[in-house]
Amino acid sequence: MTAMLEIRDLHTKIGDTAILDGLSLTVNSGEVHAIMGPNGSGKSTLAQVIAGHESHLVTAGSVTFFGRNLLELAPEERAREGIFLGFQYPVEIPGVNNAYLLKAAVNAKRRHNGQPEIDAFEFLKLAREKMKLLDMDPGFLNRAVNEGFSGGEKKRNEILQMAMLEPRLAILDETDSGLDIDALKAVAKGINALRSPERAIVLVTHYQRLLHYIEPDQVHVLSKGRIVHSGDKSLALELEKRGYDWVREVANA
Amino acid sequence: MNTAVIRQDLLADVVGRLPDNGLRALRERALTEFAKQGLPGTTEEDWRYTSLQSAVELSNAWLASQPDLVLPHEPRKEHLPTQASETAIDAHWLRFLNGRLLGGALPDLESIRIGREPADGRGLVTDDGLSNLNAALLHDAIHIVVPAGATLSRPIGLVLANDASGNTSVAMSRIVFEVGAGAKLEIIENHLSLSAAASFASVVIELRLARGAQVRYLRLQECGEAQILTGRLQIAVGQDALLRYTSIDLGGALVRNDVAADLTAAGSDVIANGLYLATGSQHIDNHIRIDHRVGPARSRAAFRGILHGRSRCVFNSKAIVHKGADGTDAGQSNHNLLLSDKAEIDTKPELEIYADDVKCAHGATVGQLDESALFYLRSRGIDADAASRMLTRAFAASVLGELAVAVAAEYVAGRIDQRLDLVVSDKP
Repeated sequence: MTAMLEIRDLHTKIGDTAILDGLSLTVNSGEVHAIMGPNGSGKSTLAQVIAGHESHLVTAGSVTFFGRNLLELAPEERAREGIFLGFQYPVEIPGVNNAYLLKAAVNAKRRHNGQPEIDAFEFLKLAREKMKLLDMDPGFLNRAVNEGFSGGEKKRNEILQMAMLEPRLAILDETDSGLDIDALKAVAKGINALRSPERAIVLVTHYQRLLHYIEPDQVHVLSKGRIVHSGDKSLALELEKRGYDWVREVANA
Repeated sequence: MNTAVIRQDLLADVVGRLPDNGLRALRERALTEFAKQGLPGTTEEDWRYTSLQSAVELSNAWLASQPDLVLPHEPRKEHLPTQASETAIDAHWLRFLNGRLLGGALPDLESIRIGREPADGRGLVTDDGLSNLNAALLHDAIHIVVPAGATLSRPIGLVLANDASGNTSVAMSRIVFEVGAGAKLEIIENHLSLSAAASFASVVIELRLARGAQVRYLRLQECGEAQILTGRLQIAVGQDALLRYTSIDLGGALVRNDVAADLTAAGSDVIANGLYLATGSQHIDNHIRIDHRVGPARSRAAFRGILHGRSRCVFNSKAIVHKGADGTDAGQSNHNLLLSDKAEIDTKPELEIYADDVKCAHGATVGQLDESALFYLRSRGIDADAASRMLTRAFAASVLGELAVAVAAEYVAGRIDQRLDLVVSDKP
């Protein structure tokens, strides 16, 4: 069976600084992975490289998505193939309406898949349904993308976009950071609703907190640009107790 | 520095041959003044970045061509096809072709009076050479009086069209609005070119706002690629009067727009915003001057520009807070989006403050499309070109959101979109 996402010996640079240093990871359909690690370990870089951010230079290694070389695709092509990045810091875009972006994104994917564009009625119905799941006020549709949103609202908006786009692979970069407990629960509910045998979710997180609500199949610890330890959900609890220094010691041993 | 000047002998000859229309005495006075002033050159601070050289050359060629100045009959409405703006925006449209009001008899529009002769002529001859050249070559001077307390149900729309086929490559227009106390009025000034040939049009508009008058004013410039256009809007703002002004520049080869507001009494409130889109070798210059003579009063000037190709734009806005104008609240801003490294913007929001108790702020920015926003949109499946267009539109949207004449919003939005598609797809 071809893996959904297969990363082999990935090395990247930003400017002259090496970030990822021989990272390998396999993600299959239906799985939920958690990528944990201290600040600066390369977690966000990994998320951005998969989504196609152009500031990262891949110097060695490969990334394939269902056997296809992902690195030769533009960010928009990756999105249409079914990769979704939930941003750690969702960008505020004054003047671009939230509903307009959502609809344009849904239609870009539909066109790519040879499907007819979504009509206005169907779109609104779908958006309202998903917003209800996330405890979002439908008024958010008419606001500019993330403009003036609170931290929690921005993260819910990311999950709304994910729910509308129904990606095959969702990479959620620190989606739990800056959330109060209610927002965290709403976001987790939205993510759990998307768990399915056809979909994989990669949770990039610094803390174990989110994993109380979303149970991962595998937990990986990233340090200095490579995965130094992998395990099941109990690894996250271990980390919570013993801190990242413990992993570094294990890795160096 | 201007190397060419308007040839005074040719100008005097043409001025002498113009039909009277009750304007002869004024033209002669303007001609005498113009002889002393000439057109402003680039050695003058206000004209540093904008040369009228091409206007001078075009004018001299036109003056020397022995232009046929007396049309055989009153130009009729049929001489100008109905323009898109007239169809799209519900307004009382007055149509000007090459500076002449079409339609023969002057229409009665609700309660307002439209006259051909200036009631007094004050202001017609000024210390500004460009305005005097305009006055010296006038065919028509239109005077529109809105009585005190009147409220018009629809805006007054001015189609100012230029047709440079034939010999009419220089055209002057002048309109005075006298808005009575407490009257409410919306005005749309729509500039168009009917032919692709080069032409020079000069438009001088005066707006006098009596106490408590409220005017919402839209200038929409959609000229052709070879049009030279200079415009001057001179506004006298009375006590407690309100002005909302929006300027949209979409076309033209060389465009200079001067807006001067004189706040002469307390309680006045002037908010001006604008958008200029330029590509190719377009040159668009907006100059705003606001004189705060008495306080308290408020003024704002907030313009945005989108530049591509080798276009060059100029923004200068100056609020002068005169001695004693305490309680003044003045603000100016100018934000520019440069889509090409060959485009150039010269921006200068200025404040000159001679009063003590004032609140003033100014600022300008010049930048490119936000890379992080572009990546965000692309990561949602939007292709790079569409994402650029989306962000460019978004940049323009704040001006549209505060358009002075709301009834024109849909038409203006459509025209901006069309123009943006062209500008964004242009090559640097």
